[in-house]
This record gives sequence, C-alpha cells and structure tokens, in this order.
Amino acid sequence: MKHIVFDQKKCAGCNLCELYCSSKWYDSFNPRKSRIRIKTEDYVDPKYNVCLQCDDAPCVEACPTEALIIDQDLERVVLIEDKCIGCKLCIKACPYDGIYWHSEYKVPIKCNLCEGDPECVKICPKNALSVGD
Amino acid sequence: MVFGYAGKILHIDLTTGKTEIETPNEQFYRKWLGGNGFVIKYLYDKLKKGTDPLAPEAVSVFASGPLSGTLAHGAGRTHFGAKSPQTGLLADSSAGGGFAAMLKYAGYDAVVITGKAAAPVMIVINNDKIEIREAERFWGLNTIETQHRLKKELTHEYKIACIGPAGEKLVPMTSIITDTRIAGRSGNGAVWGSKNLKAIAIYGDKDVKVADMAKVKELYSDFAKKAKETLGGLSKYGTTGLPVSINAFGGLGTKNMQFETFEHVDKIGGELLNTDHLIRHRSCFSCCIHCAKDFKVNKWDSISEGPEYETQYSFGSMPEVADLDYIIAADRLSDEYGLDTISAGVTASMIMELMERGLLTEKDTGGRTFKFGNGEDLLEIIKIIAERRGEFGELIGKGTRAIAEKLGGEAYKYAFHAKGLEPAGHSPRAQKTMSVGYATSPRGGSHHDARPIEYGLPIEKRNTIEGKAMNAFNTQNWTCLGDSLVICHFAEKIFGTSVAQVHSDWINAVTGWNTTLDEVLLMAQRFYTLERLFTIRESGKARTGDTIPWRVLNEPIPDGASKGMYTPQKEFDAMLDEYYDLRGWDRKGVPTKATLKRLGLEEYS
Repeated sequence: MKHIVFDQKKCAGCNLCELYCSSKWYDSFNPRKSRIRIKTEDYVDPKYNVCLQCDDAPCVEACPTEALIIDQDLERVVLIEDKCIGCKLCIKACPYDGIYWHSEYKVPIKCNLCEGDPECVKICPKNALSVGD
Repeated sequence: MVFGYAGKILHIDLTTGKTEIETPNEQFYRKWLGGNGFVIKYLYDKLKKGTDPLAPEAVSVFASGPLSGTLAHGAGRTHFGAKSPQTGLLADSSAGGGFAAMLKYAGYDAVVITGKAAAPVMIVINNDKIEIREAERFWGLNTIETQHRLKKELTHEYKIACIGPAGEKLVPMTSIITDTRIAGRSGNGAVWGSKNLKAIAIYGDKDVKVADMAKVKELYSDFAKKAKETLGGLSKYGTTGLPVSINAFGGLGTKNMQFETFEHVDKIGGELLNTDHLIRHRSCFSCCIHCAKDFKVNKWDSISEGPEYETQYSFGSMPEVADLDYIIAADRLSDEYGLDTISAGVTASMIMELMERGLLTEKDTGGRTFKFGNGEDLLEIIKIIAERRGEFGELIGKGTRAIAEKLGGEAYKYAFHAKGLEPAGHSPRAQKTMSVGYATSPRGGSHHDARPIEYGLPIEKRNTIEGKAMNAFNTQNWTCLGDSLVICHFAEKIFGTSVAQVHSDWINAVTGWNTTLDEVLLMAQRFYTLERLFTIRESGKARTGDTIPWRVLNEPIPDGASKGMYTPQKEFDAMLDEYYDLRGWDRKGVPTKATLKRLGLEEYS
C-alpha cells in the first residue's frame, strides 16, 4: 500500500516534518508526538521511521481488539481509536519502529497519511518525503 | 501559563548537587524575553562583581527563547553565556542545532549553573528528572566521541552539549559544542571545564504550545517561501562562497590583516568545496535553509561539518593556507578539541607574522618556526593551544591581546582584537560600521553584534562615517533581539538587519501578547544596555575600553577594491560620539540615568 517514502540523500535533518505533524494532530509543537520521526546523527545521512502501511501488517496481526485494520478502500492501516485498549502490542510488533506512544494519550501515535494528503510531504523543504509504494 | 514558554528556569549548584526550579511570572518573561535577555539578566544578578571567570562562584547560563521549539527559523538555537576567561567581559555565544528546543520540550526555558563538582560530571535531564552523574570516563574524550558514546548510553533521542579536552584544560578560547554546531566565542567551554562539567544531555517530550497556531504557520510559510526565492545560494553553498565575493569587495583579511585580498582565494572555498569536498547538506533544527555542509578531506580520511566563512578566513586567508584539505582538517580538529576557530586562526596568523618580523623567536616557541602558508604549522598551533603545551601554549591560548602584552614593544600592532576577542572576517577597515561595531560590542570582535551590512556598497559610500554609528546601533539591536528569541541571524537576509514588525508579529503569535515594534525595540536596547553595565562593572572601563586594533586606526588597506580605507582616530572618535548619543549613553560611554529609566533598568542605576 502507499506510504510515506523517504529520500535519505535529500533530507538535511531539519525535523520540520515532525513539527508540522504534531501541530496538525495534537495542536502543539512536540517531536515526540509526531507520527514521523527523523533521526539525525553527526556525519551520517539521516534516517526515518514512520508507519509503512504494510500489506501484511504485523501490527494488525498483533492487535487483540481489531482496533487496527487494513482498509482496502483507503489503502491504509487504520487505527480505530474507540476500539484501542492501549496495550502497545502494535508498537512491539512493528518491525520498522513506525508506531509510537506518548504518556498523555491512551492510544498510539501512528501515521494515517493525513487521510490522504500528508502535511509532512507538503512542507518538506528538501522534497525528501513523498507518497509512494 | 505563558504561551511559548515552558514556565520554568532550572538552577543547578554543582558544588552541593542541589537543583532548584524557579517559576517566573509573565512580567518577567515579557521584560527579559529569553536567550540573550535571560543570559545577561542572570549573569548580572548572580555573578558578583570581579568574580574570576573560572572560580566555582562563576555563573554559566544557557537559554532558549519564546520561539524555541516552534517553526521559527532556526528555533533550535541555544544561547550560552558566562563571564569570559578570555576577555574578562561578557561571553555570550549562540550555537545552532536543536539543544534549546529540546530544553523547552523537557520543560525549561533556561538553566543557570553555579558551583564546581568535586570530580567530572554530566547533567542528565529527562523531563522532570534531573541528575548529576559522574563523567570520569568521558573526561579527555573529544566532543564528537563524547556525544556518540553518551547517545549510545542514553539513547540517540537525547540532545547533548559538551566540551572537549581544550575546555577541560581551561584554555580560554574554548567553545561548547552541540551536535556539530558550536557556541564558539570567548570561552564558554573553559567555564564548564572549571566546573568539572563535561556535558549536559537533555530529553523531553512536552509540548510547546503557541497562542495562535494559524498565525505561526502563516509566518513560517511566508518565511519559507521567501527563503526559497532568495536564499538558494545559502542552501547550496552555505557561507562558503563568501571568500570569493568578499575578496572582490576588498575586505578579506589576509596575512594577519597585512592585506585584504588573497591571491589564492579560489583555493579556500566556493565552488571547489562543493565540487571536490561536499558530502551532504545539513540543517539545524527547524530550518528550511540547511546552510551547513559536511566536507571531506581528500588527502587523508577525515570529515568536518564546515568550514564556514569565518573559518575559511581564520584558517585560510589570514594564515594564507591555500589548501582546503588543511582548512577542513583544522576545522575538524578545533571542533574535536572544542576550540574557537576564529580566535585560534587569527592568533596563529599573528604568531606567523611575529616570527616573520623577528618579534617572536624559536626561543619563545619551544624551538618551532611557524610560517604563513604552511598548513602543518597551522595544525601544530591548534594542538599547542588546545593541549595547553608548555609556557607558549599557555600564553597563546589566551589570544592575541595576551601575546602582545607579554612580548611588549611593537607586538601590539599585529594583535588583531577588540576587547581581547579576535574579530571575525568582516573588515573594520573596509566597513566602518564594523569599526564602531566591534569597538562597542560587549563581546569585542564579534560579528553577531553589529552586522557587516556594507557589502555591495561602492567605496565612496563606505569611505565616510555618515550613517555608520546608526548602522551599528540598528544591527546590534537586531542581533540582540534575534539571540533572545532565539532564532538564526540568516533570517536577516529576508527581514532585514534591523528590528522589524515581523519580530513583534512572531512574538505575539507565539505568546499571545500585544507587543508593538517599539516595545520589542526597547527590549533589545534594554539587554544591550545591561550588557554595557556588565562590561563597565567587570572592566572598570567604558569609552576607554571601546577600541579597535592598531592596524585599523593606522594602516590603510594596501590592496584591492577597498584600497586606502582605514579608520583614523578622528573618524573613530566621531562615530563613537554619535553611537553613544543613539544609545542614550554619555560621551564617556556610560548609560545615563534617564536611559536606564527609559529602558526599565532603574534597579541597575
């Protein structure tokens, strides 16, 4: 399924995507509430983590309450917050470290592609982010 | 809660290990704003007059500002401050990266450190948890290795600021480094060293809330759009293209300011760095410009983030080292040691000139000759300074003023400094704004007080004192405000080099206040004037301390497009008079009672 794609060679590590993401979904600037994470380190290219909307999503498998489902129409792994019991098994199951937890919330922090029009892709000053397969 | 702020100031006493949280009220925030404002407020109030900069009682501060952690341009920048072990005056210095943003996310606006730990320590802040941990195993490690090992131990999500071996050895011209960004000037590194403080690591997951999110985004979008249209050069080259253009302008300090053009300028930067040395573009936190670059040394295996323009000047044209491999290597070496590249390079250049003139001999240097144009000599001087090798190393780590004082005689003519701090690469001869600017800067030769805004002007417009005091006044107010917000000064390429309505707009959108341009301008003047009071208190000098190097006053530029320019004493005095009038300081350079009242500084009169 389509997901956020990252071009490591273009990213300069400004973390503006994280700021835009947290401001859109949680009305604050807080990189630890961002659904996308950019890891910057000295003298190496940046790395990223985000939900990759897997076709055979291990998080969906792991979820005991069917709060995570693959929505074939939307082509996304969707989190139904009402069904989530906050057990964090999805976070453990994700092989890409693409789902996060913040102590203020009772459900995980996971990319939903901004319901089709991702904020991070729009604002990335280096065009390092895009939506692709 | 005040929007934009964390609402807490953290005080740490390293002698007792005690921490204390101060929760200032809104009036405090609106009066002192952040960054630079906090630094001078706490330094003036907490550091007793005449305190040895390296004594346990000395105070070290670092601060975020109201815009830190938001979308504002470069809103990860940190403002560090102390009393300088190099100049004995104010040592405030700003670093890029994201350290102060993380400080805010952890829930603090600023940290005020006093005391001295009994053995090497680091401060680890994880939100509300503050620990002072032993750091013996990190002592002696360079800044890059220290951060790598610490992140491995604590997780990579921490932001770290640390000192290198030079700061540990209390070398005066030392820096604090965070990631590969550096608070370089005037010796904050040695102050941490004197406190046995190797590093501070911070992790936070708290919100920075703003009053008007839509307005903040609008302001950012406007900036980003303009940045894309006009700052392509900065994104592509950073500041590394400047040596070529500043050389053509006739203001590239060369051979310790004997000249202001460098015949091998094409070998120290610009296109060559990008074609032969560039590895990747790097960005500070929350900045869409990404002016920083990783460059590689080709002759041997090494990488450095940088050099940037100031270092191309201090390690390139000043010592006439026309070899990028050596300039990149010297930059990396200085970063590892935690050494200020500007002061180190200008000092190295003075040593080379003194040896050439026979004013310094092998007897003084421990048997070594240092020559202009020799990259190995440059690297050797850096090592001698950073490792504080012998009597010579002890002396030269203090910079050019100390060398001149020690040698006596004619040596002072070749010491390029203001208030004991070596000027950056913006010629005070080719731009009179920088003559009056460096002289009146509380830090001395800093290019982040007055800004070099005469580039591009024809010589007739530059070779007059008209408007130059005003330039210094306006640009100093802007940098002082920018360092208080805390944002990057490169925003000036879009919003101009004076305090402007847009700064007030940003403050209001984030905090919800209704500041006007006048109020914001008053803040900048308040901080600058309190810095002035600090300078007078610690040095006992006002006007008599506002000096520029001998060469600037006495030797016209012999070459290039600014040939013939210098700042004779008469011109200099006239600019100082005008400058003091603009500031509301008397002609002796002392702020008047009326000015202190106007700026809300009555308690300091």
